[in-house]
Amino acid sequence: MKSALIWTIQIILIPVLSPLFTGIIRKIKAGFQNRVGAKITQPYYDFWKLFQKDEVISQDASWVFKFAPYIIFAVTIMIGASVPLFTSIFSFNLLSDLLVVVYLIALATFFLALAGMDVGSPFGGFASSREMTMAALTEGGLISSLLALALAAHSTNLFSMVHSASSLSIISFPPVLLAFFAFLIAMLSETAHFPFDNPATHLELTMIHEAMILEYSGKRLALMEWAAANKFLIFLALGVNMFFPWGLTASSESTAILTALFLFLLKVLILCLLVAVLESSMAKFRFFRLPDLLLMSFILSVIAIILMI
Amino acid sequence: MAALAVLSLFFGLFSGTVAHLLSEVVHSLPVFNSTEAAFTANASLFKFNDNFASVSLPLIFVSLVSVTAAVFFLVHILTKSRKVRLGCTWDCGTHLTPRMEITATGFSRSIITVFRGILQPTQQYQIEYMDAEIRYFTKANRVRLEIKDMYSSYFYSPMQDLVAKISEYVKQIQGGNINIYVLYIFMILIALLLLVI
Repeated sequence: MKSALIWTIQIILIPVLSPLFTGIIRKIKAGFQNRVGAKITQPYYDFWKLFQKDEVISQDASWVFKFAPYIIFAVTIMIGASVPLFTSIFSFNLLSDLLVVVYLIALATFFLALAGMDVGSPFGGFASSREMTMAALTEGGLISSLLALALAAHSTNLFSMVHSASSLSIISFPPVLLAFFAFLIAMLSETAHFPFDNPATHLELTMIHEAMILEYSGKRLALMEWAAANKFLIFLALGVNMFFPWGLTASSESTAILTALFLFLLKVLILCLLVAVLESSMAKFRFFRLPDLLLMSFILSVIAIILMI
Repeated sequence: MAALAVLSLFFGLFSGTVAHLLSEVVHSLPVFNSTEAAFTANASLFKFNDNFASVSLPLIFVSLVSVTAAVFFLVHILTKSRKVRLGCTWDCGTHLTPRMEITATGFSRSIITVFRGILQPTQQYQIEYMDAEIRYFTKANRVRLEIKDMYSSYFYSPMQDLVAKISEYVKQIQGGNINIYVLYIFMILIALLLLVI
């Protein structure tokens, strides 16, 4: 019974909390811009509003456009249920593999790019092209940063990696920090944040993520936006739990679970603050300068791997 | 294209079975009889022997299909009364034509620009003017984009050059002149004689 309850929390935690963290980022950014900003719960109201609305779909849309939001949202739910969040009870999960998680993220990106091109809008097409370029360049840094931990753990299972990283001594921690910085760069690229993309922009020529979902409205737009929020929280969770792996519980006691949940939220909030500060303190890079940053992420990961071996 | 996509999906889903069949074939060869396979594969699981990684592609597929179906039906039930209207693709105030759609060239343009050092793309412009003297109003533009065949220029061509060079060298030794061959035999006999002494 208890384990069913913990399993349910594990599955719903990402979709339930993800809009909140999007709201927190927006609130902090508003603070930096001397604005009051909307409430941190505003994304919940936005999603609710979108689910209530009727839809306008392009007459040129095929089944790819219509089904992509469901597939992308489902992928984020699957990943959210597979990654280490607050408990290590479900370490036997076959989906909790580093490569499975990374390529499920790639699958969602693939469908997002297909949906962007499907209706034949030039903006959607160019955004898909940019997104696939970024995704191809980010993958190396993302996999290598996590591979540093996988090599230390001799396993690509995310839970084994967390367990191994938590038993590392202080001396072996600098490579983990290097890998974390590489992961942070890859995370900003994957989740469409500064300096890679502007999640709040409405200027078509600079958009990547937003231009791909330009044709969506109503419930499908809500699913797309919600999936993007889920993806952001998944990356935050991976960032804090893989590189700073303290606080996960192996016990199914209520107190231990609540403490682990509190610690998880605290860690994610700190990383969220870091992302918001980064977003507010730098400008968006030119598109063709971004590969340099992603190459830096890859080089940092390779150094981390060499130091780990 | 569709056949290739279906094939890749098939080999992805049944990679365990395919790998299992291939490893059985390899194992039956006398050379690899004593070697232990690095992984174990069956229809449902692909696993490295030292527990480094394991993946179950049918499980991923079934999970993806079932979660997508669950999301679809849940959203469908919750938003049953919402209407769906067909409209035009957003055209920014102009009339969209097929020429405005992104092409494969346009799609791959950014990644080619990023890797221009390796791919070395070339552009050629040909402009036809309304009046060749004034050269202000253009009548027609022709752009030719080209990318070097990487495998040809970095792998096959150098290999071909190397083989040609070696052949040239061999040709000098093996010229078809019988007198030279007799000279070689004579020189080797002298060398052998010196070696024996």
